[in-house]
Amino acid sequence: MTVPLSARLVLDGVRKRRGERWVLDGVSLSIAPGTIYALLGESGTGKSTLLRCVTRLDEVDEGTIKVGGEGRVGLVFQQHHLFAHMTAIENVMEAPIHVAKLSPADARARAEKLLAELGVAHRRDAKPAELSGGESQRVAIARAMAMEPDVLLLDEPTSALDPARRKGLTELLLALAQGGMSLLVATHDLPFARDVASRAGTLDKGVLADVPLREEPAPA
Amino acid sequence: MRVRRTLWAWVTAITLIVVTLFASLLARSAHADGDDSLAQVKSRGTLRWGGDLQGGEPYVSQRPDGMLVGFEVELAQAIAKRLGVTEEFVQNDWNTLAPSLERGTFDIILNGYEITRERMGRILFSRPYYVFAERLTVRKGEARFSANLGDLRGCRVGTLGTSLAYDTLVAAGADPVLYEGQEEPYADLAHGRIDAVLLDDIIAQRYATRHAELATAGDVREGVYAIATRKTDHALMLAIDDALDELVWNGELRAILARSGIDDPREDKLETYGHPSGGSASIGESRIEAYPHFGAHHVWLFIQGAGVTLFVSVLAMAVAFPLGLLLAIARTHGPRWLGNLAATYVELYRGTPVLLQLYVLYYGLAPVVRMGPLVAAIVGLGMNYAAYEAETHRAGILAVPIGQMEAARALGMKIPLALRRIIVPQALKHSLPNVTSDFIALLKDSSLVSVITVVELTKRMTITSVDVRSWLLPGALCAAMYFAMSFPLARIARRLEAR
Repeated sequence: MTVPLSARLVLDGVRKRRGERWVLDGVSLSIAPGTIYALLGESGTGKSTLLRCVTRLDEVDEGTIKVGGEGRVGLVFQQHHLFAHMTAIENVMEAPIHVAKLSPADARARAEKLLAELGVAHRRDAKPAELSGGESQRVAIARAMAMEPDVLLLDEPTSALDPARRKGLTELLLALAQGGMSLLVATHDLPFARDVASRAGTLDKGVLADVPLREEPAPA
Repeated sequence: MRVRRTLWAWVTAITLIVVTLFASLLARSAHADGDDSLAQVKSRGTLRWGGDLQGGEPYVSQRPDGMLVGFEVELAQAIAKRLGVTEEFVQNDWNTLAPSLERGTFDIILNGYEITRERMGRILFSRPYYVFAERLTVRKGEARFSANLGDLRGCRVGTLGTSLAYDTLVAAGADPVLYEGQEEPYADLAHGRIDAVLLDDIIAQRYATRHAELATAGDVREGVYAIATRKTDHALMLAIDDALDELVWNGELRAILARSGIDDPREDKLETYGHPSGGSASIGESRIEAYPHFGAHHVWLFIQGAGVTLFVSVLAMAVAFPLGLLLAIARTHGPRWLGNLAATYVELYRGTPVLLQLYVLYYGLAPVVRMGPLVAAIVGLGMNYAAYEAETHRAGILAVPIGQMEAARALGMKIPLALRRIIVPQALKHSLPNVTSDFIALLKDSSLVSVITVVELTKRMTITSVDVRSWLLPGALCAAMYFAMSFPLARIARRLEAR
């Protein structure tokens, strides 16, 4: 279903309750195509819940979430959750074959291309247990990208990366945005957010507040 | 390491067999000491007589108030009175009366025990106390059977194991189908599962007549019941023969028979029959007869039995494995009502004995679903084991991290697809070693299907043991065959676990 939106992702008054507590208490947000939004805040503030609601792993109690384009959302979990019984490339091919109904040959070509772009083509036949944290993350990104999402969500992508890999990830996300992808990144890493995001916000008692990323030029 | 483990397993098996042999030798030598059999009974003050209450009326059965009734109870009382002691009934499975007598569980067998050539080689028989006829029962309107054994060649004929009727059927070239109780063969005949039933007339009178669709084809031969003692207990046997003699001649025996409604003109012959060793009438065979020794022929029968065991077990597992998986999925991922239904199934099947389930499936449901014994065995065991496999699979599914399902759903996979592609393949990796262990248990539990007339390895062993008068070689061979089937599986399970 194509939603005619100028923005790629629009949240409007989203409320989500966990038990007695409103984890999300009226969150509104819109992300334009080709931009990265950083969702800041410590763990437990509702970042993951917001991502799960956008992915429809959780239902919202109130409000709406609209995704532009084809309406497809990709999620890269903090723990990646690669399918443990499949090789890297099988992980990437699985949904295109069984959900998008691509032929195995087409799915393989798409997976090969993504793994190459992400720099993990040489690990195509490795099982998830054999991959390093950085490799595993790139395979997980490739797996999400293989479904050609309109919005890509990442949950704490820097949590297990060393500085060199962190730099690589920054470049990768910027390149994705350059290509027109909209990204919503949940992170508690402010320097990383400054490097990648054009806008940022933090969840406080379920309400989203803007966070200025770049120092305002000091008044002369 | 592997070599040492294999060695250890064999050492254990051989030790068991040696201990069994040794114990039986000891038991034998204990019996061989002088004949104080009568003195022992008198000093104890009780004559212990073995029988099977499952044999029921009119032999010996138990009233709801616990009291034993039947013409054999009265006979035991009358004989005990003449020995100056009281009688005491000892319950024992009918098929194993002779071995139990030999190992000293009781002093005499008194339970519709027919004098046969084979038995005379093993135990002592008294003079007969009842003359019966082997009666052939068929379904009404089936004219192909007359009271002629030749008609039975190749037919499936129900009877009781280790009985004169069984020997008669084997000799006639029929295909005997063995039952544990008297009611079941007639029920199966009425349901069309077998062609005929050959059993003692007083059994036919009680049990066949309950089925309106059955009719008597005729009596094919006569036989006699007698009391049996151990081969060494001549003193006790003499006393029992004297007592029976008196009961025959003073008319008390006929009076007892009449009270149970089983006295008929045929019983006049009791006066002419003497002790089997006396050479009178047709049953006066020589007392020591050759009986078949355990040999190559039996080994072949055992291999066939093992084949049946394997066949039933493999197919039962082929039912249990997928059914268990469906039950496990219903419990972990199904809607609540379906999950509850699956949980009820699991608890019901795990909470009741598989023996009961087999009886219900084969005999209880016979008017509704008519299954052959093999099919019923496979379905019965399969449905029972499905409950255990459900738990095994459930544990496997719960061992798969929740993130796997979430990742699948985040990629747009629906739950059935995610289960099929992502969850179940990983769950099976966890559950496969346990499934293999369950299969070993199933292999052994499959011996229970003999209650619905399937002759598998264990049943073959019990039949052969009675035939050859020994439990040692058949038992050891039977154990070795189960071991040969289960040991490689146990190793496969271990290897799967190590993966």
